[in-house]
Amino acid sequence: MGIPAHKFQRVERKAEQYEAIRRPSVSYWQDVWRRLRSNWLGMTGLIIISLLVLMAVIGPWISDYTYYEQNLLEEKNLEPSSEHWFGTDDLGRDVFTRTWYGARISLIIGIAAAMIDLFIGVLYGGIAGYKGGRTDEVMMRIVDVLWGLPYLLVVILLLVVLEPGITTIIIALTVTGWLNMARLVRGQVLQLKNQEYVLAARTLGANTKWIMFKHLIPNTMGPILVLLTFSIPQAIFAEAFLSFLGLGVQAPIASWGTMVDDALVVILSDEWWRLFFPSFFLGLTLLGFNALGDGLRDVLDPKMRK
Amino acid sequence: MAVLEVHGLHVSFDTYNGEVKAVRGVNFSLDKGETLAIVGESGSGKSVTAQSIVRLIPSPPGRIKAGEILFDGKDLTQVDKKEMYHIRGSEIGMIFQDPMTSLNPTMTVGKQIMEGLIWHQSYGKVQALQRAVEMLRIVGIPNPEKRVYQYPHQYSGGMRQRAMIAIALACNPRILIADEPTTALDVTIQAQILDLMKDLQEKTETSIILITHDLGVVAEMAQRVAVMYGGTIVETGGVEDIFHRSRHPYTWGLMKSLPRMDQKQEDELESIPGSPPDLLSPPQGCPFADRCPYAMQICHEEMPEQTKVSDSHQVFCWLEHPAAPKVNDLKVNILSK
Amino acid sequence: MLRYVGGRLLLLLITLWLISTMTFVLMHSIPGDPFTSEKKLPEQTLKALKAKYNLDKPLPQQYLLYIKNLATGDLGISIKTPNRTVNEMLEDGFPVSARLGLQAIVIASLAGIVMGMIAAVRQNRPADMILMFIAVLGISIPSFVLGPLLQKYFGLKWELFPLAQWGDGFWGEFKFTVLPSIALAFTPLALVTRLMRSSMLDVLGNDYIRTAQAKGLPPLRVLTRHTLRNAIIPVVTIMGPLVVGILTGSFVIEKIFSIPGIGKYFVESISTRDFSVIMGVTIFYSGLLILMNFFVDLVYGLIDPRIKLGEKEAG
Repeated sequence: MGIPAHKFQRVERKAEQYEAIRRPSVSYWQDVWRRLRSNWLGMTGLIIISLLVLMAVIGPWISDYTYYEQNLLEEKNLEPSSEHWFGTDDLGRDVFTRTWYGARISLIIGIAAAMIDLFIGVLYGGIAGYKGGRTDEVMMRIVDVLWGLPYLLVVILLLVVLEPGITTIIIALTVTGWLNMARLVRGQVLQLKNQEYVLAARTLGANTKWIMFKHLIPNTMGPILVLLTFSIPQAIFAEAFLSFLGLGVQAPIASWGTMVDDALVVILSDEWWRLFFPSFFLGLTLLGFNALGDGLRDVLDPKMRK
Repeated sequence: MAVLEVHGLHVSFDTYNGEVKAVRGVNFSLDKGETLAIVGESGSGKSVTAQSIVRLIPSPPGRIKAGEILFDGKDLTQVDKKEMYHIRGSEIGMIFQDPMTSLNPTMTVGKQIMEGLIWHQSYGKVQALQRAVEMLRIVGIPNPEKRVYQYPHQYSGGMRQRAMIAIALACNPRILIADEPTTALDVTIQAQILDLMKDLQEKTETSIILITHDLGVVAEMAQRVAVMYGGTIVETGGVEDIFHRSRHPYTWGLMKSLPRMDQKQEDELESIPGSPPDLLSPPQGCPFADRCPYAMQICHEEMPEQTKVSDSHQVFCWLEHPAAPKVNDLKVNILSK
Repeated sequence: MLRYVGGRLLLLLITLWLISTMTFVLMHSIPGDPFTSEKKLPEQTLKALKAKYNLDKPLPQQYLLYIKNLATGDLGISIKTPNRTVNEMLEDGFPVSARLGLQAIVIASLAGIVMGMIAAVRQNRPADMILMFIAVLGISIPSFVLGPLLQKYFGLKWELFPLAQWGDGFWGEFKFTVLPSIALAFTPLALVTRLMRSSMLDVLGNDYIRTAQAKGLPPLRVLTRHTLRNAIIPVVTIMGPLVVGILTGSFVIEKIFSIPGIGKYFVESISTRDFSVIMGVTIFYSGLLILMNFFVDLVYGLIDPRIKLGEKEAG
């Protein structure tokens, strides 16, 4: 037939060829970052948060006014203008300055509360999960009991009693806030500690601390990071909610919650800017963190990995 | 007489990375009461072929690109959805690999058997329940009157696979497609399930398409074998042909990688070096060429044509070409240690 | 099963006791007594008042009395309006709050399940995108922002729903409850929608769905008989937190819409520091929520045959 004979020469195969690793090796976090970058939801969240943080830092600073400066005579309820970008409120205070000052408060409270939750939760859940047995039993029973307490009600109760202020809010939010994290970490540790590589480390003579920090914690980072991202907006929402009820930060400090509360009168009048700006940026913050959380979950969920 | 004929089947999946050509021109036929085994490693396209027959590949991203699947003279790639619903389950039954996840955990086993009967054969509830009990008895589940009301988690692994068989056979289908039916089971249970399938096949004259990578199961069950590699069938023949007179280097590799009783324990198990081709960009020549110790230049360039070894035995390999060197002259070991 | 229910009931009682004790300790840790902030009261009156609230007794005895009263369901007397008991306030406010809450729960769970289902079935298509956009809004807009907006536009500008006062009779009240119910339900609705969607997608990827398809069942039948029931199970687990969210949300909604429910009393008692009302409402709501969670767990055990109540959860 029409096929030339040389085509039937045997071709030598080379062993290296077919076992070669084609992809470059990347570290876990490099890989996470790479995948997060291609996740539009997560990136949108990250960009929104970055912009909000930036404005929270420079916003009050670039404005010519302070959050507490009142001008009852000439500048009450002014519409947004080149003078007052977001208008002024019924005490003649600059809404732009107050909005970004409120952003500072919200972000500080949200991040601080989440960090404390993380710290307590990882410590508590880590110990319970790692020790196991009786210790775990007792520690988780305590969590079960506390779990039954309604979060916001406990926070309200604490705030009624304690001196109002930012620190108080953070403390109140973390009193029951760490439970979620503790449960998650404990579950993760329980699941991981019996896996082969931990057993291997143990047979090689690694001590508890080493195993905790080198093996268990890095491997639980994914879900923890996701929960952390979701607990920030939860704390921000709680702060706004409490400030709205008059239990949060006290006047004249600006918080999105108090600003919305003060602006309730606009239902009857037309000073829409007083309600709009704090509400909008509060919503945007919640949106940003939730989007980032969703994105991270997609990225860190091993089931989705390809 | 052939119950099912598949001609030139092409199936592709559209993924983010491009078109994955999972099945690339598969032909086979299935006779009444016959068991055809489709053998191959994971990713060879055997499961996709099976699922395409009943149009169960998830679509999108999957689609049947070309070819025909003749069942009863009807082309299953062309019949409308409604008709397909009536063929699935009632004419062609299916069982899957993992009995642990293939049963609905929140529905009693009885209801899961009854469903098909009520839908396809318009059974009443009482009638369907009787038939479900009967089916459970047939597949060897003790105490079926009680078991019919239980949930899957109350069954053991082997019993769940029996229940799956009961579901698949409840409507007396003419073809049973068994996709790795014993892979997830213990060895002793495997034998029981295979015996059960054989036994039922003799009674009902059902044709079986058995998808597996386990040659032991093939030897036990099948009359005919199709060996798949890289989305194509590379060799097809009777069990004897494949086990004793195989002509394709890939089939030799498969046979040799089976552990044998007469092997010395110190000997390592043998394997075929390398991995199956990337079906995103399948090789233009023989898919096995990259791993084939006999590969010639032509193998990398052109797809081999069919060579008829006997009426029942066909192979796709350039070594069959008259111009090719004789295998015995090529002193190479197909397997690495 | 019985042992499990018994164990859960015990846990429930411990939690209740904990919250009662906590409120007691907190309320009594404030320096002075509830009357110190008031105008100087005559010695005689003050004494009488203290006697009325048992404040003249030593603390341990106060505590025992308090727990004893709680056990009999007596939540005490309001400090600021001394002729009203907390029980009376709850009796007045609860039907209103309960109605609002129930409506919101029904909206959130039913609409959420349907929306999540549609989104999952139409994954990545326009319907899914629109529904997910609504869900994102729901999560980003707090009820105390949505409430005023609904009030302003649907109530005042377009006059679709009345605002001013609370009507009479079931239907008379209904039109007043529409806006607050929606405001209250919006965030929970978004949560249910998202959860239902991801749970549906999860279930749709299961092998048993393929089995059902291989049986030849048409898509609608596969959906109703095999997908829905299994997809709803995870949604049931968030009913507890959902109710909590709606209850606490009702505090602000009742404030915004001036609805005479428990939430309004509670918010008022917070601003006037009416401690006995704060304590009473906290304990009442805590008890209610703890019971709700208990029932949710029971229901969960009933609809998922795999869960044998009393077996330890894994993880």
